[in-house]
Amino acid sequence: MNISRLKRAFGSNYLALIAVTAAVSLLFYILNHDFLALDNIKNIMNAMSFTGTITVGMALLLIAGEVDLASGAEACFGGIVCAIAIQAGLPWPLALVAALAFGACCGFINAFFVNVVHIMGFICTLGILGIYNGLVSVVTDNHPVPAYVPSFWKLGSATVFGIFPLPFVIMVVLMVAYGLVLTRTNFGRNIFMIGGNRRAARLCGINPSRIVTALYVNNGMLAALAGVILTARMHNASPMAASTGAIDAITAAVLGGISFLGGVGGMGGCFIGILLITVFSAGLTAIGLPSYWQIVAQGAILVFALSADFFNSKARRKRLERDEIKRRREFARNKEES
Amino acid sequence: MMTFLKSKNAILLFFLIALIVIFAALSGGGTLRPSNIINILQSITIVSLLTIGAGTLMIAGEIDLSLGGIGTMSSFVAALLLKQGVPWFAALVAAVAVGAFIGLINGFLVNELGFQSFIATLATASITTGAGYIFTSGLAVTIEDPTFRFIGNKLLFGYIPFSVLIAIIALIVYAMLLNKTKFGRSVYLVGGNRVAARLGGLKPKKVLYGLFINAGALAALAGTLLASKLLVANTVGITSSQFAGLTAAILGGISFGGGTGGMGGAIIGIMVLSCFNNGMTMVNIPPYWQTVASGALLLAAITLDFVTTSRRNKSEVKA
Repeated sequence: MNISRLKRAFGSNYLALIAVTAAVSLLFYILNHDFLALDNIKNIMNAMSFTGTITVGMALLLIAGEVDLASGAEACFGGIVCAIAIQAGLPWPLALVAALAFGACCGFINAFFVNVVHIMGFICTLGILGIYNGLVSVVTDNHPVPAYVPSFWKLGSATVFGIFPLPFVIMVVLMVAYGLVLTRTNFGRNIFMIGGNRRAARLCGINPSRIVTALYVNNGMLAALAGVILTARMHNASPMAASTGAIDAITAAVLGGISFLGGVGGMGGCFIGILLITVFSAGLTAIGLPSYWQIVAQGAILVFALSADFFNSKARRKRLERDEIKRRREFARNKEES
Repeated sequence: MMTFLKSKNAILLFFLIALIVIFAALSGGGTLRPSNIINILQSITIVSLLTIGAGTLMIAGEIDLSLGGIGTMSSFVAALLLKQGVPWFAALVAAVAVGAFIGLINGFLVNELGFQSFIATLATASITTGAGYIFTSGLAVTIEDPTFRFIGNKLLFGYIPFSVLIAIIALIVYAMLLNKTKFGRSVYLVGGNRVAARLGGLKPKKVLYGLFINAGALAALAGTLLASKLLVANTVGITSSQFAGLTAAILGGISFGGGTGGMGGAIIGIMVLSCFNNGMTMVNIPPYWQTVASGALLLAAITLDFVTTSRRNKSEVKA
C-alpha cells in the first residue's frame, strides 16, 4: 500500500469534496457549537439516509446513462402503499414487501418506455413524475396516511451501537454492497460499459436493454425502500414527503463525480456528495438562516463544487501533460547518451 | 400536399382538432365560448415565450431548467421597480436585462466551465427562485401601473388579448430566424453535430451564449407578462409553466437529442397543451387528475412520435 495508490483510492475529485465538506462543517461549528453535538450529528445521519438510499439506485442509472426523475415520487408512493397496507391489517414486513413490489412495478414501467418505446429516460420519467404526483394526491386526498404500528417505527428509529441510526446503517450497507457490485462483478463493469458506449457494449455481446431494465427495477425498489423507512421514522406517509427526492439524488450523485452522460463515477463519491449536501442544509438551519436563503445556497454550493471539480481536473490534466513531456525528454536524452 | 399529410405536424394538427371537438362536445360548447377562447389565448402567450426559449436551446442540444426561476425573479424586479415609481418601460427593460444576465451566467457555466446544462441550470434555478423569495420575503407584490395593466389585460377589438400579439410576433420572428438565417441553420448544426459544426467554421460557444441569453430574456418577459396579467408578482410565478414550455416543445417534435424540430410544430404543441389543460378545467376534471392526465399526454405524444417515426423508417427501407 504505497502513497500513490492511496492517492488514487481517494481520487483528486473526492479530495476537493472532502475538503469542502470539512471546511463547511468547521464554519458551521464556529458559528454554532451545537452543530457538532451528538444529537445533531444523529439528525444529519438520519437526514442523509433518505436521499442516500434513493441516490444508490439513481447513481447506477446515471452511470448507465439513464435517469429517473420520478424516483422521489416513487419513494413517496412506496411509503404510502406501505402505510395503506398496514392500515389494511397486514403485518409490517408484508407491507414492506408490498411496497418493494410496487417500486419494482414502477421501475418496470419506466424500463418499458425506455426499452420498448425508445423514449429517453429523462422525458418519459418526467411524464411519469406528473402521473405519480397526481395519483398520490388522488389516493391520499393530500392528507398524510398514518401507520400506527410501534414495531414498524423501529425500522426508522432503532440505533446500532447506540450511535448510528438504523436508516443510516441501511444506507451505508447498501452503498458498500452496490459499490462492490459496480467494481467487482461483471454486471457492474457492464453498467459502466453501456453508459460509456452503448453501441460498443452491444457489439461486445452485452444486452443493454436487459441491464437497463434491471437498473430501473432496482431503482424503483430502492426508492420505495427509502419511502418506507421515511414513513417508519415519521409514523405516517406524507404525500409531500419526497417532492425534491429525485433532484436531490441527482445533485448528490453529480457532486460525487458521477457524470450525467454516463460511464463514470462510484459509490464513494456519492456518499461524500450526500454528506456535503446534508451538512450544508443542516448547517444553514443550525445558524438560523431563513429557508429562502437555503434555496439560494443549495444552488450556489452545486455551482461551487462543480467549478472546484472543473479546475481540479484541469490542473490534473496539466500535471499529466507536464509529466509526459518530462518523460519523453528523458527518454530522448537517454537515447542520445547510449 | 401528401407529404404534409404524412408529416408529424399534420398528425399533431389532427390530434389538436380532435381534442377541440371532444372537449367542445363534453362541455356542451362551453370551451368554444368567446370568454373561454380569450382565456386560452392568454395562457398561450406565457407558454409560447417559454417554449421559444426552451425549444431553440433544445434544438441546439442543451436544456434550460431555470426559466421558471428567471421568470419569477424578473417579475419581482419589475414589480418592485414600479413600486419605486420607475416608469413602466424602464422596469420592463430592467426585468428583461436581469433575465438576459442570468442567461449569460448559464452560458458561462456551460461553455467555460464545462457543466452539463441540465445541472448548471438546475443550480441557477434554485438561486433565482430563492433570490425572488429574498427580495420580497415571500410576499406577493401588487402592480398598480396602468400601462402594465394594459399590456396584461387589454382586449383589442373586444376579443383579442394584447399580449397574444407579442407571442404571435415572437413566434413568427423566431420561425423566420430558425429557417431563413445563417444563425438559425447554425443552431441546428450545433445541435446535430457539435464537432462537425466547429470544423465547419462555426463557433458553437457563441451560438450557445446567444441562445441562453435569449431564453433568459424571453423567460423574464413571460414572467413579467404573467405578473401584469394577474396584477401581482408572486412566488409561484411561472415555475409551473416552465415544464409546460418543455412539454409543448417535445409535443411539437423538438427532440431532446438536438438538431430536429421547428417553430411550426412548437406552435401546434403549445395549442394542444393549452386546449388540453383548459378543456379539462371546463369539463370539471378534478385538479389531481389533471396532473395525471398532463403526464399521460406527454407520454402519449412521445409514443405517437415513436410509432410514426418507426413506420416512416420502415416504408423508406421498403422503398
